[in-house]
Amino acid sequence: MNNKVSILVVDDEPIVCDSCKKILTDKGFTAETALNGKEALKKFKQGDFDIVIVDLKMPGIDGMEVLQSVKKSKPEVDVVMITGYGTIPTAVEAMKLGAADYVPKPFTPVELSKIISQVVEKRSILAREKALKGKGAILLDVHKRPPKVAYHPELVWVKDIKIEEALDENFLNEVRSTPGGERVIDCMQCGTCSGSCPLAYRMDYTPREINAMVRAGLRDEVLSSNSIWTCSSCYLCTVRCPREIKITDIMYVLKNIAMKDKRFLKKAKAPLLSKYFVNIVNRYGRNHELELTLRFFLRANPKAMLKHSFMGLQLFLRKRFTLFPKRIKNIKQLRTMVKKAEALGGF
Amino acid sequence: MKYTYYPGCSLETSSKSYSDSALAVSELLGVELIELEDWNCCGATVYLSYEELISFTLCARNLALAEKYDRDIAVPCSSCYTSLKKTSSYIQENAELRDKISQALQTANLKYKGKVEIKHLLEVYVNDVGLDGIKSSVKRELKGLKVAPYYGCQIVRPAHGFDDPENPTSLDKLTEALGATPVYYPNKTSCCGSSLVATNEELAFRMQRDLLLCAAQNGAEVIITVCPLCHMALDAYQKKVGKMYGFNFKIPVLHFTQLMGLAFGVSSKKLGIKTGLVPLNKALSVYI
Amino acid sequence: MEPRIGVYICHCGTNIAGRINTEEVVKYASTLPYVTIAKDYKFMCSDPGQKLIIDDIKEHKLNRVVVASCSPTMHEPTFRRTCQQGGLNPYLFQMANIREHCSWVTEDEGSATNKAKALVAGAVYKAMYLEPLEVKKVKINPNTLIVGAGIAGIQAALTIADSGHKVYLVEREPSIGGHMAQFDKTFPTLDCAACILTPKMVQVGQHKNIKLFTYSEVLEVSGYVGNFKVKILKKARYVDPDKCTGCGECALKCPIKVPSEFDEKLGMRRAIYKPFAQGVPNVYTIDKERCTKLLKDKCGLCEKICPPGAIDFKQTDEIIEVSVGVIILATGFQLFDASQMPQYGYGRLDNVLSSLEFERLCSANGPTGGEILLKDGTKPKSVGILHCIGSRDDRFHPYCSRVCCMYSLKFAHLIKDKIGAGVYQFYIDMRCFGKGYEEFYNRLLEEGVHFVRGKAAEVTDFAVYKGEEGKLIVRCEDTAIGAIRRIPLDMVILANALEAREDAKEVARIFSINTGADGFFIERHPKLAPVSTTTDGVFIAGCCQGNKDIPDVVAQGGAVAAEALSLIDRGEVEIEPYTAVINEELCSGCKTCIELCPYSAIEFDEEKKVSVVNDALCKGCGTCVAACPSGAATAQHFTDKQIFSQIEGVLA
Repeated sequence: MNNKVSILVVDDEPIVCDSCKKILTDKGFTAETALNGKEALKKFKQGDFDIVIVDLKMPGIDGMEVLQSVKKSKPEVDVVMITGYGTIPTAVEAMKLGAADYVPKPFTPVELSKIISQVVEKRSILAREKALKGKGAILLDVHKRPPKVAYHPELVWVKDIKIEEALDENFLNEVRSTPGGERVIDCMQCGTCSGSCPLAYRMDYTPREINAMVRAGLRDEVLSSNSIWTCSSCYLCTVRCPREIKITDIMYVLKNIAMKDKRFLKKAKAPLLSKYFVNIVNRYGRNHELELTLRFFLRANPKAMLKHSFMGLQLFLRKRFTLFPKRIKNIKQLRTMVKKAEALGGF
Repeated sequence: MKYTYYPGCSLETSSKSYSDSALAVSELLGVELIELEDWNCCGATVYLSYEELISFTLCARNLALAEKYDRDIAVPCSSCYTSLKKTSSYIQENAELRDKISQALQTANLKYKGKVEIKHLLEVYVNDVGLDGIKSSVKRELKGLKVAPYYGCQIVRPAHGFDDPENPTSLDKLTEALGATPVYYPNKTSCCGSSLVATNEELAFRMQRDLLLCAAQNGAEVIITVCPLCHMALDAYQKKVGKMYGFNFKIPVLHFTQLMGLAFGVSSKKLGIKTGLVPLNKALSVYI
Repeated sequence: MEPRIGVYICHCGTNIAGRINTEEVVKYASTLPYVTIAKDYKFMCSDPGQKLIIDDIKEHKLNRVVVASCSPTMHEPTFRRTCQQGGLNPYLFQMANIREHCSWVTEDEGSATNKAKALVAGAVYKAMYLEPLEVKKVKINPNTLIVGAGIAGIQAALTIADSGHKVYLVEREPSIGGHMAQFDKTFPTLDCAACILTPKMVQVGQHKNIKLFTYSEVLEVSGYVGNFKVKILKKARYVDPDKCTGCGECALKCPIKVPSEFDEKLGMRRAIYKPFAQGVPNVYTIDKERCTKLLKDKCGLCEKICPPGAIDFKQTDEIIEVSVGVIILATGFQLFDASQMPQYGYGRLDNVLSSLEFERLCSANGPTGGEILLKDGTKPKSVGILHCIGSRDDRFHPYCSRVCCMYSLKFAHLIKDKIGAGVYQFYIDMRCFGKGYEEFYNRLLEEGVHFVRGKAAEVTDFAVYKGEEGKLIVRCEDTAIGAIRRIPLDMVILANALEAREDAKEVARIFSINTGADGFFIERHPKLAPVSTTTDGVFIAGCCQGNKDIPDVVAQGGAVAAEALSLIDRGEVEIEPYTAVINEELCSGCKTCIELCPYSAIEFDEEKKVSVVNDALCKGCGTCVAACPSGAATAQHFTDKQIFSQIEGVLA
């Protein structure tokens, strides 16, 4: 690949041209030089260069002009600017005009080689993609899904082949950046957590599977499963995990993420309970069981209210719940604090 | 021995008898529980599910308020205990969290330096007062009473260091110190599912069924709890659980401080013994 | 004579050249004082590389050589030999480590090159002051000490003894054989362990070149390679081994019953006992912690009835000193105590067994005569085998114990063979790596063993469903089918981790070797020197170096014997001449050095009233050099002048 890349070096100082030529030929490229803008454009027209390295400050036609000229005639050619003292702002401008990169003077052979190698690599990737397109390859964009899947209109996601493009590789980092989540990549899939979990049998995915799915990036599947809302936070998994992964904490983080993204709140009732609880605590500073129970059951399961009404009466007669909430003195202080914490956002 | 007392929301209302009996028993043991002024809800599992940072901040407020006094915090509720302890250890381990929480606390003119020690009430009695101290306060030994010591999950997990996470013994030893007999109870740290009772009743009832079944199989005459939510799960819902699975359990459930109060000779009215939904049985009535 | 230094920069393929600009370093080196030539090459340690040095020594009349390449631990001996071949004293050679100390640990190419230049300069500046030194040769004592008489120690002992050399074999227990004697059958051939071990044990007991010390321990070791002095504590057995015939009359009459360690406390032995019937030596031992005669001066029945009159309550512990040239440690492993994991019920629930306990149950000379029985004496109808108890667990041992998957398969087969019970294996992975191992696994699959892919989460006796009463219930996630399972079983066998012995650290200290983070003894190099240690003359073999199965243990036993014989055959060993030297003129006789020397290598000459270094014992640690108030002590090859010069070079 290297010996097919042809580079034109333009600089008014002959020593710069010669040393660049040497560096480039050592690396396996073919290089030619030009001592001024006019000569450069002439040679460029005649030759078939892949990359042009040009000094910004030159008498006569300067680097900018060369850049613009080259880009006008052959936009696929990459131009690298050589900048000197005080010309960095101009270099930035040149980037805006389409320069691929810039090398500040003085540069070592290593520095120049690095930049040129990067440009060459980018070119070969583009060339490859172009070649594929050229072959008439038609590829599907996995992100463009039909708006409604015919037979499952309500579900957030539907079982299908897992295409790498659609997986969320950031999901793993989201979980790993929270305290307790760092070690999820150490999971050896032994199954101890799920074997210990008193509720795993009812989960869409067991804790072990959730770990693996987080690593694979299956964000939608994890967040819309019932698993996270079935966890009762008993910490048995955490205490027994041979890799000391804080699985319960991971469950909490997934709950937090799901609650932020309203898409996942349709099926489960637990987010609703959370919502009301949070609302009550933010208003009074303490929980008010009566209000919580009433609001939650009215909204989530009105029939259950009748079933539990007898128990409720028994508790009331034994003075085990109060009618009125208790508000803390410094409730305003608490609310300011909560607002600030909310603004600072999660991890 | 003075402690800052953090009762938690449940002890104010549905488990008032826990609070009453705890205060009564503590007085007799020479433990002074001074309620933290203007404490707020710890967030428990429900707020934590919503947003962790805010939840930890709520706990941090309590810790910052408590830090003003040179006393350890005594917590009767296992859920509050875990929330406060988690907050405390995460603040120490995680610099980013520490920074964000202190920013939030500052808006309320509070600072938390991480110097408060958080202890569960059981821990205070067994470790600080000591079993001998408890024995010496016993006025009437609960001889022959078969007790199932139910720890529940959040008092021993995640490893708080207080007792073994799989096979704890502090509550068993306390029961023995009261003269009663702790029965073999292999489920003693299994979760009671009370965080799911509202949202997924069937699952929660199944977990409670296993606990009650095990207690019944081993001949327990009373179950003692160390957490108001566990008490609620096993006591208030006992009849419903039994109905669902075709059992008639009839095992009274007491807060462990109530049992201590009985042994210490405190009046059953003060202890709120009759506030449970499961009626008392013959074995217990002897001591009322 | 003016120094003429040749400097060679190695590329080490891309290890050095990939990070350091070797051309620049060569250019820089040639500007340093006294450097006659400076070159670079791809692999200096190779034949052409070494030839470069040899040719240059002749051509350019070099009298000092500096090579900048890898760590001296790797190739200092190589290049010293090269210099010798070129006719130069090997100690006129200095090495600069620009690989482990430079190219491998520096990210930025510019910084790496600069550092390499400094290191090379340091080496050159030191080379200016190097002096030729002569190696000392010391004779090697041809005897070998082997500590631990399990299969590793036995194999090594027999190999060395068969070559005609003498071996002292020290074993802590009253009989040799180690853990292998406790096994029933071995995988994958299902050979009876005792049948293949006992002939070797008998050979050891009868071999004219092996002096066996059983019921003994090593107390102290002093000296150096080829010349070790060892103190062995021979504990009193209160039985005369020359008279005892092993008839066993004493044990029949002894009234004291003690849980048998050999039977993993499942069976009983007496206070006077042999660990197992086929023990070597065939001599009884009295446990002084339990014998009433020794504790309270009562009983003494054994003495009265012993036919040859071999009981001797007046016996005392003896300390025996031996001189050896080579020491081999083969102290083996111990089993992880599963009561540290209460969720598996070991020590709490009946019929939960450790792996060694189950081996004893299966063994014909075990507490049940080889029958697999529950505590109540009946045969189990269903057995579970739980893998990875304590292994692959960050809270206990992160490593895999290597043998448990295979012995679990063996157990499964034995159970099927003996009692035909249903067997469930709860595993995370099946590690069947050796010869015939995967085939053994296939055999077990055909025998109808249930393999459940999922580590057992807990063992409980709390029955919930019909059919679970009175059973041990294993709860796990069967990850292959994706379901949580409750499996009721009669018996549960745990595959405990194998760990280093409790006292491994203390034993390591006695022999001047080290233990690693995992608790096992550290080898000199995990790939190329697995049985040597960094202490010359001390070798390790078997499970004390790391968990392994019997074929690998026996292979290491042979390997370590070869290392020992190689040393012994050499006849003499070279001692590095880094010893300290005390200038008589400057020594004031203050004796500070004598008190500080960790190797007791300095003596005081009463006539001249000066301290003198015994260079056979001196290790060149430099303590006396640093401490000497009059500067009379110097370390050869690390003199003050050389070191200060080196510092100058680095800072240049």
